[in-house]
Amino acid sequence: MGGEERVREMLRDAGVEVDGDDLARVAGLCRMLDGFAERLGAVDVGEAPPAHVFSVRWD
Amino acid sequence: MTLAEAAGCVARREVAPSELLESVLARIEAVDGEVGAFVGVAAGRAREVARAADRDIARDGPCGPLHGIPVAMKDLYDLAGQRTGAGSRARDGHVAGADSGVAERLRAAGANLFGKVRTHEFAYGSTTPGTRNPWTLRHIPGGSSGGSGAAVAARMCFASMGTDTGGSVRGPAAHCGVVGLKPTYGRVPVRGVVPLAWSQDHAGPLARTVTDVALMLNAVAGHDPGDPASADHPVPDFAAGHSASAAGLVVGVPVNHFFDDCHPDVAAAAREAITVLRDAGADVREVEVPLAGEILAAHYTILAAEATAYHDRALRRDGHGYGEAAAAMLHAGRAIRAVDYIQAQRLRTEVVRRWREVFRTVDVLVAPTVSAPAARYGEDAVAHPDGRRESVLTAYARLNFPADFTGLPALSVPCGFAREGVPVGIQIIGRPFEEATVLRAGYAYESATDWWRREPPL
Repeated sequence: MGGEERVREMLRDAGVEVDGDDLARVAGLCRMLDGFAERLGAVDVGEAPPAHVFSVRWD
Repeated sequence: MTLAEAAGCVARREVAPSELLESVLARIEAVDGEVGAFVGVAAGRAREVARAADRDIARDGPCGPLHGIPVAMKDLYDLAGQRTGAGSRARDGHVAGADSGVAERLRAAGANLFGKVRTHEFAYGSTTPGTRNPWTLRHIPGGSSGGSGAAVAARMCFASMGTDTGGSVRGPAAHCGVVGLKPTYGRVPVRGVVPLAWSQDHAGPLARTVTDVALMLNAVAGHDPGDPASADHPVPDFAAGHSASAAGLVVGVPVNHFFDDCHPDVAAAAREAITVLRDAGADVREVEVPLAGEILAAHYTILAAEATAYHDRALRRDGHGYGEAAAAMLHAGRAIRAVDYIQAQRLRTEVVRRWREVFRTVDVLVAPTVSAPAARYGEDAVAHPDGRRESVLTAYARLNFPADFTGLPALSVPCGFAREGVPVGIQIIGRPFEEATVLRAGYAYESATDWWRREPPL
């Protein structure tokens, strides 16, 4: 399922109404984000762990 | 008059804080109807603060260079007892219970926080609707700290605090012809600042000169235990040791990404600025900047996911008061899968590792701040000379995102004008916690040029 469909589903489940131009705008952004996800998936980051900005360590 | 010049006059008792305040209030009265930088001015309270400063300075002298200096705050910073509007009707009814960490520090340094300036809604955009560029009112001031850039450029304050998650200090600084500094991630506390994306939010000053932003940074930098992102790192005197010479400074000029698809006026001004730095004694070298072209996708993925997480509850409740553009971007953030967010954070680790290698060979990177000049007001795309149009989001973000993504300090300094009379800036990116080196390079460039002396034709 692409980002646009996921967002439509989530908005429907949440009872949030978005239509017309606003929905077109959301859909456009979702397509951009899908493109970004595809691009990210193509980058070889080796064994790099995610950057941790905030820590839950207690030391 | 710059902040440093005003501070000198105050220290010599040639000008009283009340006179400084009245000068900016009169300026606001005269020009802000056209510019639209301010969302609120607490004139009564500010006059009380100024009179108290008059008395204290007459008796004991100033407590520091910011004593009695009028400073404007982006409307994301909490000021106790005032509304933090964040540019959104969704914040109607909000009243801050306490000062933000930055406001506490500025007040302790004697600054007069007299007014709040406009932000793009929740800092999620780079046009700042409602504010116009003081150099040409047909154009935008950039954003999201557009009110800060416009207020400093139009001489309506001596300095302003902005925030920078995707270029929101440096972009408006470049577009408005002023200096803007995004410090290292964690250098300046963001406690009491409405977040956009926690892992990329930075607080930073805008002012007319490099020395002025250094004086502001002196006041606001340092560890804040109340801010989980705050770094406990030594704080030097950022305004000390500046020189017109760049001798000994190794300047890296990116051969990839940073000059790609730049507006010719922007690229030419940046190239000329690099020549100025070389003439000032810098050792200029070309460098390849690893993974720079991948940062836009990763940065925006992180930003959009974190922004949607912050606003999700309010949007699900009723979404009341959110503007259409902000709501659309926040809804779209739901499209991001957890795995993509984590991949973006993994890429961040790798970029930091590989950029560390670059900074073993250079002290700073120098490049254009923004790839295109300010767009016309009301437009959400910039026009390239060959007729292509590029969304403001991409055009303004792709050169600014890398320093937010890596957390490295980055300074924008005015370096000329594009056609239609809008200013452009160069960006100086340095090693973590080496703002002093970035400021040194900026000062050397500024000393050899007079862009900062120009005034908008209001």
